[in-house]
Amino acid sequence: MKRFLLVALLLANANYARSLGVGETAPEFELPSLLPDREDLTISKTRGIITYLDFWASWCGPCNISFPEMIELKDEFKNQPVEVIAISVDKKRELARRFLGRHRINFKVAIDVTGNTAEAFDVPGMPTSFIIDSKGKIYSEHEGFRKGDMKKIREKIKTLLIADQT
Amino acid sequence: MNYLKQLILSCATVVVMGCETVAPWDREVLARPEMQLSTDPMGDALFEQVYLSKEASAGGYKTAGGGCGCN
Repeated sequence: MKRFLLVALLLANANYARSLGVGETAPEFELPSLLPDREDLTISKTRGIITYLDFWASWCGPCNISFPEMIELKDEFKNQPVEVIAISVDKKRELARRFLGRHRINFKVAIDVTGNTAEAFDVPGMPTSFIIDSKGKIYSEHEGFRKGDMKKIREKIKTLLIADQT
Repeated sequence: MNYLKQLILSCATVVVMGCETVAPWDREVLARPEMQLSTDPMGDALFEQVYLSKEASAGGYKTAGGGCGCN
């Protein structure tokens, strides 16, 4: 009886086990672009460059703070091997497009309607961003977004750029 | 008695196993204003300010957000 209960409790808590972590290879994905003039996005196209990957949603409050800062980030590193990719987890494209209409987007935006890519990355909350190094490994993960967070993210990207150059 | 205890424990285990975590990317409905724990966030902020002034302490009486997973 005790053994049965133990197994049952372990099964009940199985949902909470997270598998993807820093240092692991970023999962492959191929997602359609949300912007009309851009091609579909694949992670393999970003091998060799540093990628800032952000999971967001139109219904996520802090995403309104992170987007203007991501636009600045893209501007700052436009001449460096750094790519900024935002993946919407909205179920309706129209909601995501309406959100994008409020910002002057200068980076790539894809949509993950099924949530499969977010699941593959074990996204713990909205928004969550990952810095993926030039070898395709996850360098850092950042859950949520507050003012001032981008400063830390920027420092991490600069550290990776220096490491790549040496 | 022993049989009854086993039955209750089994039922409790089945109920616990039925608990499901909503994935962060599926929390669109939970993020809606009508799903928030409070209907008046501005009033709550005012209450917290008054409470802080009167009691010289803050927090510890509610949870944050309505479950959208946003920070």
